[in-house]
This record gives sequence, structure tokens and C-alpha cells, in this order.
Amino acid sequence: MTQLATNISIGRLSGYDHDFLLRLYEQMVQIREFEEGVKYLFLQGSMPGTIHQCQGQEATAVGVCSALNEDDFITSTFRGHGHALAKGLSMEEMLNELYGATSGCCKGKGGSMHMGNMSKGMVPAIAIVGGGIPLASGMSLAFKMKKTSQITACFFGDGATSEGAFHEGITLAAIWNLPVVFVCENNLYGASTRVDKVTRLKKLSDHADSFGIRGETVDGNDVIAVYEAARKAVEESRNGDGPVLLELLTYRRTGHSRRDACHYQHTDEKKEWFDRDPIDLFGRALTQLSGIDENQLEGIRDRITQQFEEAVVVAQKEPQPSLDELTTDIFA
Amino acid sequence: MEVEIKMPDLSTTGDEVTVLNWLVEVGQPIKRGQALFEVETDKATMEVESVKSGVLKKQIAQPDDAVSAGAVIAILEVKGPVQDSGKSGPSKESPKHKQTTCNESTSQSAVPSNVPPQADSSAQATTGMFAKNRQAAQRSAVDEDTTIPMSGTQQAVGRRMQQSKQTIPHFYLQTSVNAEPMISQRVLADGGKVAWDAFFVCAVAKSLKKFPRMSCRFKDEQIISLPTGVVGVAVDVDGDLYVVPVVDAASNTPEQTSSVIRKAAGSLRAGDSEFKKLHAADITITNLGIANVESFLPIINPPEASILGISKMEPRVTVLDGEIAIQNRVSLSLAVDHRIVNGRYAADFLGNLVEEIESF
Repeated sequence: MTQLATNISIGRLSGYDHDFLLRLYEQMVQIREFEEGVKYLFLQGSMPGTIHQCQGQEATAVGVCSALNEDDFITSTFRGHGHALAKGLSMEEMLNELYGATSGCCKGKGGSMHMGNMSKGMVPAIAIVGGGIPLASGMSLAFKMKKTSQITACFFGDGATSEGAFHEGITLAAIWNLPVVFVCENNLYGASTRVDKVTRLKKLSDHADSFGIRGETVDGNDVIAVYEAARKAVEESRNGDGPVLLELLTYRRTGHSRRDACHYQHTDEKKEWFDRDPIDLFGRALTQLSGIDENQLEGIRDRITQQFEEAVVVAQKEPQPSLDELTTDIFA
Repeated sequence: MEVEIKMPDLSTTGDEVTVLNWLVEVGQPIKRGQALFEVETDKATMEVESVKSGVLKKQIAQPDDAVSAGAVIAILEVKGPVQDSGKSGPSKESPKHKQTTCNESTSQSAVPSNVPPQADSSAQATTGMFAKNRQAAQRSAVDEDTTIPMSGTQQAVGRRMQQSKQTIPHFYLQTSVNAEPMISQRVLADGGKVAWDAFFVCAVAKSLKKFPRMSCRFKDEQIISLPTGVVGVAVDVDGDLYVVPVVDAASNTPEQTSSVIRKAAGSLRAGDSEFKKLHAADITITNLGIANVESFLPIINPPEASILGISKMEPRVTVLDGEIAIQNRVSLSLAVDHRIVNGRYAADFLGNLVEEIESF
């Protein structure tokens, strides 16, 4: 069984400089604040459409993306706000996108489920379950053929491992030895179906054996563990040692979508995971380091809250696309 | 300052969401993220969190109102200038589920209140937000003198019975039962003070245990087995219809059951809102015998699988051991949801029920 941390010992943080650690914390807080803020905008009726949120899964996005270079790429899913923020998209361009504004990262035509910015290494998210997996293999094939040193980190959920695209996409990456890291965020539920109802595997990383690649299961709520596993996997795949399948064990603190009452998560299970909140876990460890205190972390949270609030005011007034823009950038 | 709380867009197919309960009373403080009210969407029941901290000043939508996304449903009194988000720390979480009344794994059993608390119809009429009230307003504009105001309960009964009659394929079985053993038992039991309904409730509860399919419900094209062990008894209170829940009648005597029914009916008449809410049951019993009805076909109370109608008890000419005899008998009619139960099974249930009643 993979050890799930109830605390992060400061010994494991030695060797990292404080700026790097605080950046990890800030990115996770940014994701949480963004998602919480968007949730209330939705509940107020101010935010159009439904949304799929990732509160509780911040460490997976931040840990993996921190191990990537700026010109590396990610593919994401319908639950993609965290991935986007971790890859360097700004809260502003994402809020503008959510409000359908032309200044949004996809000119207001993508919305919540298609966040992306090619200049920042994120193809617009693919909302079809497992749909990003063959795409990531294709992108990595392009990198390999062009002999760039870029890699792709491909995010998907536990539900995607039952899709044909998962097996087909990873098989291709494996036989062609493509520079890609497959990142399975196992939050225990595919929509409302618990993972143990759809597979007999105890570890989803065991799928790696069937592809002949390396697989590893890591505590996805421990941002340092995620970062270290991702860094190793990124290095291997960049060196031509083949794709890697990472399984990151995590938990979402909200329903599948904003319309999901989430009655299927059991009380005991929720408590266990909520007690291991990735931001709390990491924040507690940080404040034990000399030179970092709670005030500093609170300052980070306050700054991000303010930045979010200011961005909302702007986003709600940004211009919407005009009718003659209807078919621009539309390919099919 | 006042802040309007609007209905979020929670429905996946339609535009309307039904308010089930307020979880905060007017005048109570509420924090951002705390559950404010409970709704039923086309998919599930769920709690909705308050988007602001403040004090609940007014509940505009009432339980059982179908409300469009975006409609104002409450007013909050909030201190100071409007803030979209306060200083919520990164790991705050609303207390979801804490007030859910049903088992977490059986959320589909949550049923809308068919007998909600009395709605304040005057307050609703002024909002003009809710479809059904809009219709009512249009009607009253046309015909003010002849319009009778509809109570909240009657609106709910009407809507649910229409839904039942139009969407549930009812079939009906009719029989009659020898009432003599029940009459003797009643005299013996308590000098004739036991409510007649109590005998039927006890007998039905026993028969349900032998015919589990009768306790199933139909949900999302599936038959769900979620027996509640509850028999509902329809009660008329000043012209409004309510259903009183009777728990575990199979293991209680008619005297005990009678006191449960009488107590609940008394509480209803005294205006106890707890009894006005719907409690999930396996079946409802409706008795029009006191009004001299010879036979009638009741409408199923969704999501139950059947409803038993009881008519008047009267001496009838019958044949006993080849001889003409006079016997007190009661007519029974059972309306059944054909999606859940077929005719033969329901007939066997009814036959067993007759045996139970005749063996008091």
C-alpha cells in the first residue's frame, strides 16, 4: 500500500530553497481560491454553465507542473482549472474565459472545460474522458520527430483508465518510446462511481505492466512527493527511457460538477481525506521551517483573494465576442 | 445592506428547481458556505450554500415552490459593503450532508414533500417569480370574484396527484372482506375505541413483509427496493389532505397503532408543522368508509407502489356454508403501479391482506 501522509516532515523539505517551497504553496492556494471563488459566482447565478472543480486536488497539478519546463506541454480534462493555473495561465485570462469574454484564454469560446493557452504549454483541455491520452501521445510523437527536448504531461482521472483511449494511447507511446508522462489523478470516483466498482486492480499504476512501462503510485495530497515522483518521471521520459504512468492518490472536496450533491462520498472517507488536505498538510510543514511563519502564508492567501476579487470585477465587464466572430477559430 | 440570494442553475435538463426546506430560519445568522436551503433537482436532492455571510431577512420562495434559475429566493442582511468573497481560508468546506435526512447511500429515496408546510400565498403572489404563481395571478386577473385561493397544501396535492395520474400506469383490484373478526376484536380490545384504520394498517404492514415488491419504488427507469416499514394514513384536516406515517405497525397491536394515528392527527390539527411534512412510506391507506362510500379508485401517492382504498362497512347478504347469511363486510380497492408490480402479484398481496384482516 502507498503510504498516505498525515504530515510532511521538515526533513523532506531540506534541500529546497524557501522561494521554491513558497511558490508551490502559493500555486496551490491560488487554485483553491480560484475554485472557491468560482463556486460562489456560480451559486450567485453570475457564472454561466456548469463547472467541474478540483478543490482538494491542488497538489497533483502543482507537483507535476512544477517538474516541467515552460515549453513542455500538458493535456487536461473537464476538471482542468488547477492544471491551467499550475501551468502558468493567469486567473485573469481564465476568469475572462469563464465569462465568455474575447480577452479569455480561448477568446471566450472555450469556457470552463476547454481552458488552455498554447503559448504557456497547455493545449485547450479535452473534456471527453480519456480523450487527452491519444492526443498526448501524438504531441509527444511530434516532439520526438522534430527532435525537440519537450515532453507532454497528460492528466486524466481514474475513470479514464477504463476507456479504450487509455489503452490505445499508452500502447502507442510505449512502443514508440515517446516522451510523455501519463498522470492519473485517482480521486476515487469516476463521477459518482467508486473506483473499486470498476476495477480489480488495487493500484491503477499496475496498468503500466501491461504496457511494459514503469508505473508508480504516489500520495497525491503530498505536493513534495508528487513533485519528486514527477521530476523523476519527466527526466526518464525526456531522456528517452520511455513513458511513465504515475498514479496520484487524491480526493475531491466537491461534487463531480456543481450540480452534483455528492451523496455517494462516505462520511468517514471524507473526514479521512479532509484531514489530509494538501494545502493544510504542506502549510503546516512550511511553518515549521525557520524563516517561514503563518503570517507569511496568510499574506499569500490574502493577496490571492484580493487579486481574484479584482479580476472578477474586470471579467464581468470585458467585451463578449461579436456575431461576425462566430466562425473564427472554429475548425469543425 | 440587503443582498438578494438567487436560485443557482442546478438543474441538468430543465430550468426549474424545487425548494424542499429552509435550513436557516428568518432572523438567524448564516456564514458564507453554510447550507442555506435544500432543493430537489431533476437528478438529486442537495443542499445549497449561502454565498454571503449575514442574517437571513426573508424567505421568498417557500417549500415545494418550483423556482427558475436566477429567481430571487431570499434576502440576506449583510454588514458593510458587498464583498464577493470574504477571508475564506483555503481549506474551508461547507458542512454538506449534515442535515440530510435520508441515508447517504440512498439519496434517491428522498421524495418531495407532498404535504408541505402551509405556504404564505400572499407573499408568493407578490413576487411573480414562480411559474405556478404566475398562472394563478393571470387567473385571478381574469376572474377575481370567483377565484378561491389555493392553499399551499392543495397546490402540492394537486401537482403530485396530477403527476401520479398522468405518469403512473395504475391498475385496480377490488374485493371485499369479512369485518366480523375485526368488529369482535375491537369490542374486546378497548371497548370499541380503537380507530378502524389501525386494523387495516396492522394488516397491511404484515402483508407487505410477505410481498416485498409492494414496497419498491420506481426511479429513473429502475425498480428500487428501499422498504421503509412505514404505512401512511391519509388524514383530512380542515379540508386539507395530509399523510400520517405509522412505523413498524407489523409488530404492534391495533391499539398501539390506533394511538399513534390519533396522536399524529391531533398534532396535525394543532398545526404541528413536523407532521405536515411528507415522510417516506411504502403504501398509503385512504378510508372513505365514514362518508358512506361504497367503492372508489384512489390515486397512488408517489413514489409508493400502491394505495389501498377502504370503503364503508355494512351488513351484506352473503353465502356461508351453502346458506344465505348476513355479514358485516368492507370493500377494498387497491391501485397499483404496473411498472413495479404485475396483476397476479398484487392480487396475491390483496388476498393475503384479506386473510390478515379476517384473522384478527
